[in-house]
Amino acid sequence: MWYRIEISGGFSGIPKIYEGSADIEKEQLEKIIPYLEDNTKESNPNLRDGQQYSFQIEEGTQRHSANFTEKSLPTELRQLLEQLTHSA
Amino acid sequence: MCSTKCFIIPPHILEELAKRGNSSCKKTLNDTARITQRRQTALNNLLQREYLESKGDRFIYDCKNTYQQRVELVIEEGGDLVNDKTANEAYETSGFVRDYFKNTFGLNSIDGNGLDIISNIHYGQNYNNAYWDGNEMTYGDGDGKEFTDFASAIDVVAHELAHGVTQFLSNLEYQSQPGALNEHFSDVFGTVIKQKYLNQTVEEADWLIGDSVVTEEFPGVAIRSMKAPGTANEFDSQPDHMDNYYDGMADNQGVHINSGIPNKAFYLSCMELGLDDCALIWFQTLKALWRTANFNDMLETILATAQNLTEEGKVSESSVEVLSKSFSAVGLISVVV
Repeated sequence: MWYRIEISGGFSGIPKIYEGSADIEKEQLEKIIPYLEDNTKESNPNLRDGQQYSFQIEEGTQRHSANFTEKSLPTELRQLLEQLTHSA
Repeated sequence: MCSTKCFIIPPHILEELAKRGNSSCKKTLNDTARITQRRQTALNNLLQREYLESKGDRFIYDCKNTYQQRVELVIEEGGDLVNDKTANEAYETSGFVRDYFKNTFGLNSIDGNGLDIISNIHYGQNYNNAYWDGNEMTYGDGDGKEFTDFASAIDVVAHELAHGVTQFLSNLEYQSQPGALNEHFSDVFGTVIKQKYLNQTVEEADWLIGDSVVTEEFPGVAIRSMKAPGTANEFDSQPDHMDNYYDGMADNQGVHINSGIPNKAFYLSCMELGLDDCALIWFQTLKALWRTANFNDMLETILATAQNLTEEGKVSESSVEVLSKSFSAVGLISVVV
């Protein structure tokens, strides 16, 4: 699986980009794909210094991308993010 | 024929129809009155309870490294400190910020109405951020590689709490120039309160934001510099003049970027007028601003505010001149003669 995850905004305002390939269990991939739908509309209008998360994932011929706010990022994608950034 | 749809008809029309003998309208009128009364009672109880119970009390919650807020209450107002440095420091710093606003401007907590001050610490895993969500503050521990312990930094706590103050005073929207002003006011009170906390003069202060949340491995000395925007770290792209204004779409159209421009004007003003005069002028300006205010609105409002405060003998007589000069130095020139 190829991925590109950008974290922007936040108190620091310093963007972070994580890009690379990772071996992800098919089972885990099937779990996260349904969450890769744009969810920025669930944003809290009073959120200040919240981070924005932009996900791009490619597996075979399938491409998925979605954007999330601090509050709308699903736990499954947080876990994926932690998994990938710890191994980066 | 009047039915339940009568709820949307104004009461005076219902009353007139009821007077003419329409029984269903009379019933609707009575029902409406009862519902209104019940709502009013509930609202009064809510307001009364808030008035009686809200004293700007501090509550520190440990998120236990999950992404949930309010997992475990560890310190509440007047309670004992605990065996957790971050919790104790979050309690102390949030109290210092609350007391600064109260003692300096008479502002009763974040909303001026005694809103409880809720801090969530140890949020997430290696979480490199702190944020205000409209009701409470949330702090990560940092990854330990580049960032560390956001809740222990006085300027970070003041910055986040000031976002709450801005929300209730002017509610500057969080994009483009109003958003950059929102960030600017948080940096202003972040740095003012940090200098008060450290008992520094404007000459002694480093004018850095977030210097204590970056590690030695971080490629820079802080997150931002109000004295020299754009120099705090390798990624710092803050301009210090309108000539270098960022007009891209990133960061909500540059809210953390273009804030460097008014930040520099604040620094220049403080060096001539002193911290206290500037803090008062900026606070009163924040109260006078509105949701969509841009940099020019800020300039006109701050000059008018300074003029009023000068006439009241609350700030230096040179305030308007110094502010005009400081804003002019960053490329913002008043069009009002």
